[in-house]
Amino acid sequence: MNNVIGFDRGTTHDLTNPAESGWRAHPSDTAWTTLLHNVETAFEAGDGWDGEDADAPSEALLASVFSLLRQLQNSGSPMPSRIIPTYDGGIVVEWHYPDKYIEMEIEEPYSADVMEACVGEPADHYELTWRRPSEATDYKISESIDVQQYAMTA
Amino acid sequence: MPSENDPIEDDEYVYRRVLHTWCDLNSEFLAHRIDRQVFHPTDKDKEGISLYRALFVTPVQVARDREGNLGRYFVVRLSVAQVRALGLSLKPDPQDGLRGHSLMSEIRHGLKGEEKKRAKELQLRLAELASADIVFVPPP
Repeated sequence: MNNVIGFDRGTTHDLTNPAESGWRAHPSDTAWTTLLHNVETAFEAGDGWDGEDADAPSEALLASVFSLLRQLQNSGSPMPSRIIPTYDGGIVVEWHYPDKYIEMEIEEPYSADVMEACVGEPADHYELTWRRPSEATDYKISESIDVQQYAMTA
Repeated sequence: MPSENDPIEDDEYVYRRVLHTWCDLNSEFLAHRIDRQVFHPTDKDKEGISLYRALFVTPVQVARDREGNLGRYFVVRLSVAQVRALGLSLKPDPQDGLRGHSLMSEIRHGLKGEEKKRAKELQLRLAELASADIVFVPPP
């Protein structure tokens, strides 16, 4: 695969606006950060955000997701369809298309389990990692996601 | 009079409770109105996720939260035949409280590796089926 939601595989990309000071430090990304409403709500409500026993996402996890979203946005990636909290304190970023579903499930900061599922075919699973802002001035995505080509059909 | 211990027949339906966070009635695609997280097992689901047989309960009963209130949960309905066509099983598991409890053992807490990946795919397929049959919408 050649595209990482707009990135070429293995290419190093500058992160011009790292989220080192926290994921809420970049209010300009209105459309993208609006997608974070559900996870923000869960974060602010804390454990039991579902009214029962669900774990809240940690601030570190939110920061890592925000960093990922900034990279995707800077790369011209299609905006995710949905970003939601999971029962276990994780966050899932999803893209929906007529014949394909892609998700990144983030349970640990800076690491995601990716699932790409096409209608009528077995899903493809792989891991995606990205660097923390404090570790480098740029990022390298270690895996690729072939989302870009579907943008035209969404 | 049916018993909760009776085998589950293909022509039955089962209900699953859906936290509002994981339902988007305005989703661009009908198949994704319900998120697969609805079928993600929690740490309580060591034997499988819970579904309730429509023979024994109503959607409103399933939708009530711990305090008996409505508002937090949607309810979806699945055809047992369609569930089994995915290679999933359903077995009666009567419990105190809500009647008609059943278990889907292929989707349970603690799966690893390939089993976990397969379970995630199945959760997605269940969510697609469920998206087409939302039988209870909580009051605003």
